[in-house]
Amino acid sequence: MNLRLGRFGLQEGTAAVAVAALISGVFSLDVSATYARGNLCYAATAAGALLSVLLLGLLPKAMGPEADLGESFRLALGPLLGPVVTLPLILGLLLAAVLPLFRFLLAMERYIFVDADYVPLALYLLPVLLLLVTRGMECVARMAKLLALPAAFALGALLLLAGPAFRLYHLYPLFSPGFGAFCRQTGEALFRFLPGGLALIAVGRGCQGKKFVASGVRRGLLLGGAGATMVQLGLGLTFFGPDMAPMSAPVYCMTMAARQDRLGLRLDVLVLFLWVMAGLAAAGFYLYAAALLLCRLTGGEDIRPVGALMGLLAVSLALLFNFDASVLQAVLRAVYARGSWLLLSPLLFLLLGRALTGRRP
Amino acid sequence: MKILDTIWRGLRFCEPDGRFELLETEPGAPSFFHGRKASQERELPDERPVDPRLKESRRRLLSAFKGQVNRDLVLRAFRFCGTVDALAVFLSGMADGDRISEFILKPAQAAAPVKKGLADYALKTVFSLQEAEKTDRWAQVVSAILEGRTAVLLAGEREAVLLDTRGYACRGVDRAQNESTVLGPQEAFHENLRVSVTLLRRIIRRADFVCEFRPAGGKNNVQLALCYLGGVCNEALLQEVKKRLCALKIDALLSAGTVGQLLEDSPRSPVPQTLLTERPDRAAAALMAGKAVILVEGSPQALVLPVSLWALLETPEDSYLRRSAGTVARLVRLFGAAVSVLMPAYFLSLAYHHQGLLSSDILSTVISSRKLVFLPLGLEMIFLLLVFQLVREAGVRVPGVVGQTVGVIGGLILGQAAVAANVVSTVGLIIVALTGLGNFVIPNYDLQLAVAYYRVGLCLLAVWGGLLGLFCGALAGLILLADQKSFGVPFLSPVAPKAVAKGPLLFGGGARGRGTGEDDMNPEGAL
Repeated sequence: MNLRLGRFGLQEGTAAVAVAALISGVFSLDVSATYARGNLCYAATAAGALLSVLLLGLLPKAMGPEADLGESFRLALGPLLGPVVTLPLILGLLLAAVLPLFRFLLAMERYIFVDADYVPLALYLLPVLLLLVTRGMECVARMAKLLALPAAFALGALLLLAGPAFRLYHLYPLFSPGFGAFCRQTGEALFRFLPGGLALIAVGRGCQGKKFVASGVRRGLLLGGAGATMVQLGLGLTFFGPDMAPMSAPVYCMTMAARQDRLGLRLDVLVLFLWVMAGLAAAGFYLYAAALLLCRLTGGEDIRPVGALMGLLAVSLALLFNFDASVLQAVLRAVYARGSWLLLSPLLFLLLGRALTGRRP
Repeated sequence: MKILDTIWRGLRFCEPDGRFELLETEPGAPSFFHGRKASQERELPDERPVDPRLKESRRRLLSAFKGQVNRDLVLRAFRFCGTVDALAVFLSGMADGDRISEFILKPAQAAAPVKKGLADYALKTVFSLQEAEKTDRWAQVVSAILEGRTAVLLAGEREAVLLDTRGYACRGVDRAQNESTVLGPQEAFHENLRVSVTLLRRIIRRADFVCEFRPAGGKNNVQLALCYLGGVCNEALLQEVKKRLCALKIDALLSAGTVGQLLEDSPRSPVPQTLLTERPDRAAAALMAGKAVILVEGSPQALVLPVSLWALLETPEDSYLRRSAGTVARLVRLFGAAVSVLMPAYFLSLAYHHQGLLSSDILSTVISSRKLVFLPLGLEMIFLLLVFQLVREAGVRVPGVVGQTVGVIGGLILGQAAVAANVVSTVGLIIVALTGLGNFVIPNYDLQLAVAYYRVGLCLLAVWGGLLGLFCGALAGLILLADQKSFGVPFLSPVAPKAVAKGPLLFGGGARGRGTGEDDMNPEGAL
């Protein structure tokens, strides 16, 4: 067996979830649909993070003593339905890795490497992603911890750079699209926060027991959720919602909103690349978890080919979503809008299965 | 006639080629890439016992040491107790002649005769040297002679007496040359293994300080000492080190550095996974932290293992500096290391792909400095980095004051001339000079070299991919470091993964807290 799960501690696990939640919370949303009719994304982000904490708080209790997500599905739903239910989870984790990569490629192509094509840009990201995923979870967790500081720096720098452009009236009218829209956006926000927590639960065997996993999920989601909410609030203070809708990368535009040079250097590109580094760590985390679930499902004994395949698939999908084909754009919109169900449905099945079979730890 | 014969032979082109040629004699077929694959004939250890016949022993010794031509081997025949034929065997120069005369030959010839148990009698009653033992294994006799001990073979006895008469010329304990400090002790390790161990024992006066002497594994039969604190150093770590030491097979084992390279987890990694130090205080601190130390005969350095990146970035002086001074020194060192790794690549990425990130003042300065330079910027930077390495290598290899002169000539005059000749720009020169300075603040020589090679790779990535290439390259390097382990200890601990660090990583003073061992070493004793 060469699943390369290794051993990692609470700090590394928390950092992995926090970085993943922050990156997804900031970059994995449908910009045009979310901001088109006003801005309550910051509120929906906070609500989504809290709801994810509540939902994932139930999961370790429902899993039983085995502390393995795939095994829990099999035990709760049987040997036939269990693996089937795991598949949407794997797909959800894969898409969670794809969406930030797609957004980074878009931002780099639009604002930094203006004459470049997407493929050469993706070819820089791909080897790093493959290297990270195939090195195993121990390495992914350590990288997440190391990159948590640059991610925090990027967050701070973003808010500082955009600070002079903050206007309170940009938030007006409060809750403009209405409560229904808030609920829908909160539901969509679940797709940004559930994958991080689920990924840690999926690799939980490496993290010193279920208690640590639960704690890591809770802390990580709260930290990442708080960071993402701050960014969304910052966006809300910087732009009117409808102004943001046509932007490819509002976060990058936010750093440029109050154009200021510090010591003769512009920091916006640096900040974006710090986000990209953290994004690669988050994508590596999602992809490793997906590859592990797939290995356990198929009885694969080596994570490296599966991880490499996942990495290749993720970058390819990120490239595909950048094409203007209407089918692809429709798929992308569906992922944004309904992606939460990919992750929620297995969880609901698991909880239901546990309740019916009565297998408790 | 002879002249005619020579001319005739010359005209026929049949003169024999008299040049010496060393032909292959090794067995086995050569492979395409990896040299000759000789048939693996295992060298069996010499299991023969000591022969009671002196003539046979003499024959074996002359055969083993090529005694007909090797005049170092001394076979001194004498009469033990005036009645028994005996042979004192030692290597001239390795053994102390005065001690042999005074404590072996004189008492042996003057001793009262006995009839039975001659070896036992010689050991307990006659020879008055401190270290002495008996052996019935011939291989041990040969090994002892090679070490500088004297073997006494007695006619009719199946055991030889081995006496410690080692006394070869060596220098005294000197000052540390490469790790000199203002504060703290100044002594350095010594080529003599016993002296080096003594230097450690003077610092660590604990009964559980263990020094295991064992053959290093090279065909040159040098000894090494594996030192550790029993009850502090993790038992699993010790077993792993011993296992790797047992597996060592090399023709010439000449230094502790070679042992380190052979023991490492990832031999292909450019980053060292062991620490070489010439300071006993530094090695002692590592031992107290639960690490193991290997000393090799003939090598004035100690090999500390396992190590992390932070240990490689520490200097010996860190332990003696106060909190504020230590913190500033470490911050400056880390900044220097970051500048050394990233600065040229960052500059190249800005100049090639992101000119908009620079203010117009900076940009105009760069452009004006490069107005007449004919080399492209990327090539100029890599050329300058190469020249810097050249000057540095020359400075290191040339001894003493001449080396410093080479550095000055290379750095100042060559740089000035290159700018004047429009080969390089002043901005490029300043960046490479800063990079070089940053490189020198990295205390570990192997790490300095690793950073130098990595820097060139980052420069290429920056030329091709701008900041994206630079960040991806940096991330790939970080991933490899995060994945690397030194004897099972993660290379980036105690940061990633988290572990309780007793010494300061960045902030804090050198004075350490109470307790034994570092957390990432998983010491046996309580922390």
